[in-house]
Amino acid sequence: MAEKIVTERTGPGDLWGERAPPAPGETHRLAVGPLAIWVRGVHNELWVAHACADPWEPAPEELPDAVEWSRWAMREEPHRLRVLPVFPDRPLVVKPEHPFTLLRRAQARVYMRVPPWVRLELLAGTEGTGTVLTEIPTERLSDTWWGDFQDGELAYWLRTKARRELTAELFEPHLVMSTLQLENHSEDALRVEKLALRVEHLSIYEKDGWLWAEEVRVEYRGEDEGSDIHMDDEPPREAEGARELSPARAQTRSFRARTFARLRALSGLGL
Amino acid sequence: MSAPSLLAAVQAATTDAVAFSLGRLLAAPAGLFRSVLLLAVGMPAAWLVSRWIRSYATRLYNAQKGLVAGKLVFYPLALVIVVSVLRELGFSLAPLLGAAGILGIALGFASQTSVSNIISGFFLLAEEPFRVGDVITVGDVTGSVLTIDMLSVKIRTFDNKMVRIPNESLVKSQVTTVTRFPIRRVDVPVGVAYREDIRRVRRILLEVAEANPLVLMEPEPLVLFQGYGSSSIDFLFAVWAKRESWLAVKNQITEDVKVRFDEEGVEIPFPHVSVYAGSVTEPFQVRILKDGDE
Repeated sequence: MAEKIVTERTGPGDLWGERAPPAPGETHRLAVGPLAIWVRGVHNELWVAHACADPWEPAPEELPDAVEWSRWAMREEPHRLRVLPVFPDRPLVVKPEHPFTLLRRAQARVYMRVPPWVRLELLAGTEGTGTVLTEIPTERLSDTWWGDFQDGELAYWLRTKARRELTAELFEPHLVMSTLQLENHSEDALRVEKLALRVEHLSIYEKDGWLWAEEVRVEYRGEDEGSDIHMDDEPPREAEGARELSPARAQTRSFRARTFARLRALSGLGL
Repeated sequence: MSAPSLLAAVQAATTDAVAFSLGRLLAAPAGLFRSVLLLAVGMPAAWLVSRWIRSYATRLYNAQKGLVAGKLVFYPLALVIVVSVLRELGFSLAPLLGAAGILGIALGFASQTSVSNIISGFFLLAEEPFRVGDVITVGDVTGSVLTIDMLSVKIRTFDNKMVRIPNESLVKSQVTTVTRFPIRRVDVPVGVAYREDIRRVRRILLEVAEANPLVLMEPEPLVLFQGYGSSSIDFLFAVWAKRESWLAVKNQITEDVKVRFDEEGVEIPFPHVSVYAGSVTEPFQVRILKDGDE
């Protein structure tokens, strides 16, 4: 019997949410930006494989020959498959398109586009919370370090730049638009050359097929004090009325953390 | 004082104390009961207190400092209990302490190395140059620390041998803790032919670093000009990786450089020697042989 392949894509058409898992012998292909995911039903098992093109390239159409399948055996009862966008599991470090200086008591709004991960959840019967099968990045981001040589945290490096203006061409169906409100509460001017965006604390919303993160307010208190970070628990004003798709990984809504890079970048020599 | 006379003195003092106390003990069975009670209640209590101190210090600092704090509490408490029990049993402590002093001198001579190792062990626990699980290099041995004991540190080498290093040696020698800091640098020496464009080589190397997601974007990858070598222009290509990815990055980046150089036609020269005949001599005669030529 020829294998039946059903293709679904992101975009203003909706990929996110619940659907029936593929029946035995059936394969579903989900395309999210450069990422293609194949979900296959085999007896009472669910098989998942993925392949990723370069960023800004369309997702691969064909299943690669040497693809590696992950397999899960399901209970003998009806299931639902939930597909959700989630933020990466570490902070993201991003550079503004043009570094700028935030004068004391001044504010600035910046926008960042974040490639999300795709989470596959399996829900049995009438369960509301599912079992997370896997999370697959739509783009493999490079690792980076946020801190000094002795102490710090691992982060991802965001290739896209932070922008001061929101324009139509910035929107891509598979990228989450994240809004950051920067406020300089210190007595000194703040040079914004690099930012750490704590995406683990952000939920993802959807409006008209576009993905948004809740607004983050960063109050800079000074080099030694760090920054107070507040999550607004609602979509930004640019996406008013958006519905929540996926909750944040970490539920802390306000905390203090280092958000701005020190002026002197870490020397590759380790000096 | 000679060793036999020391031993005789210890024996005499101990015999006096034991004979004296046994007499009292037989006369007062209540003392025996109290001493058993002291042991039965006191030692578990001391153990519990030290355990609580240990877990508190572990929470406050780390497991190693917790271990030291626990021992520092338990041993004095245990000593107090033992002394109290001896008193209850009617032992006169003065001759015993005298005997202990003399015995201490005798034992001290005999167990200098062990005592030194024990004291060094405390220094290691307190100074904490490494922790259990760290990878350390001592002399020509590199491995993962299994335990930090009273007398020695045991490490597991990467070819799965256990090496026991006395604490005293560790305190005296240079120890490198490989996994102390969260990020590490991977150094790859790279040599290219003299005809290559240095700026192009630098750009290719930085692209190789950027293309590998395990290479940290910060601290930035670095291409450092090392000098004009005998057969090549030498660079140090240095990239940073998180501690756990260091080995993978070291392997991958070396392969990536070779693959990319091959793609770009960048020559990695092998050592060679150019022989110049000089202007006053005739050029070397070169004859090209074909199949069948002799």
